[in-house]
Amino acid sequence: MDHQPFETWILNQTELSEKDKHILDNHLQTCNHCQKLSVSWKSVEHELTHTPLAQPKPGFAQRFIASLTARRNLQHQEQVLRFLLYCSAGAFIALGLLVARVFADKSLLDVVVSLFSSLIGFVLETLTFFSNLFNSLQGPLPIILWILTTTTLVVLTIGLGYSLWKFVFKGVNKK
Amino acid sequence: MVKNLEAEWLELACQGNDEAFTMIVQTYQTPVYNLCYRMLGDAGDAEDAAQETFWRAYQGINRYDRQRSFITWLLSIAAHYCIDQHRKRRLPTFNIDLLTQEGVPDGAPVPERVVSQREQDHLIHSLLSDLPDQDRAAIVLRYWYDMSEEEIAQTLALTVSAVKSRLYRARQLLAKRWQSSQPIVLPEERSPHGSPAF
Repeated sequence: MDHQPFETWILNQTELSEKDKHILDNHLQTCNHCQKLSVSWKSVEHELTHTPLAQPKPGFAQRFIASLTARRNLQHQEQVLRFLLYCSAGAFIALGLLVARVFADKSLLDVVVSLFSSLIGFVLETLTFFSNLFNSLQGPLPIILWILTTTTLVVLTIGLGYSLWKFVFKGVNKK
Repeated sequence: MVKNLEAEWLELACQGNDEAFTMIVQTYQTPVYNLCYRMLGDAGDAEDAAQETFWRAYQGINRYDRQRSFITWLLSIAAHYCIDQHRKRRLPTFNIDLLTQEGVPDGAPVPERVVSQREQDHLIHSLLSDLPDQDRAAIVLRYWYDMSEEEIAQTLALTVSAVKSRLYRARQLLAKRWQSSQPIVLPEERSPHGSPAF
């Protein structure tokens, strides 16, 4: 037996016209299948509409606030790990490219000697520059300059250290 | 008044004010928790899912479209999270035995109201447990939150016609489940040509 459109009328919550209501009522008096469906659905609907909202255990918001700190810390740790990973990957790629470029026409020993000589040359040149500068200045100026340079270097080192510490332990606030 | 306060909290929360967000959590904890509970069927899982929902909302509050209802946005996050959890687990989601034990300690006197509430919970969970995830979400949003088909479509990211067909299919399944669990005795068997027994 075809139970359409009666099943649709029973289960869809659209308003039926008086004529359709009459047809449905007549059908329900003769069809057990549709009558059972109608009674069942009305019972289910009653249960659904009369079941109250489930409540969380007391202190839900406090638990959220507590978990917020833990979640933020976890997020910061992930940021640090990601940062280190990207830096390492970047350095690795740069090193790889450099090695590939250098080894194309030089031996490993040549590269090491060249690197060391460049580094030592740079340090010597810097020291000579500062020595000449201090010698050319008169009176207390070299000492003042030395103090200023040292202070600047210390402040920059502390600033860098603090930034790294903050990034590692506090993370970056996205907001 | 409430709407103004809500808008103010939202504004402050967008600026990173944790106290304002806590007020939002306090206001919406019950609807969010209820959706998670009806979807997952376990109080512990529902608590975790509701907490995760608020965390996701906290992280993404700057992406919230002010043209939409805030509760619809929150419920959308919760519904999608619960559906994802089901997909990941692929395990039986409703533990009826646990449900019947929940809330009352062993040996404690059980008031009639609590028993009745637990029975109702048991019945609802056993009915909902057979539904596919999105159909269950549609039913919960329709009957606990009184959402229209358009609102459900917006919340679940479906078309209105998909919501209509899901609701129809879910109602059919629920009615069949009811018939099999609680056999219906009709007043009188009628023949097509017999007189109505009224």
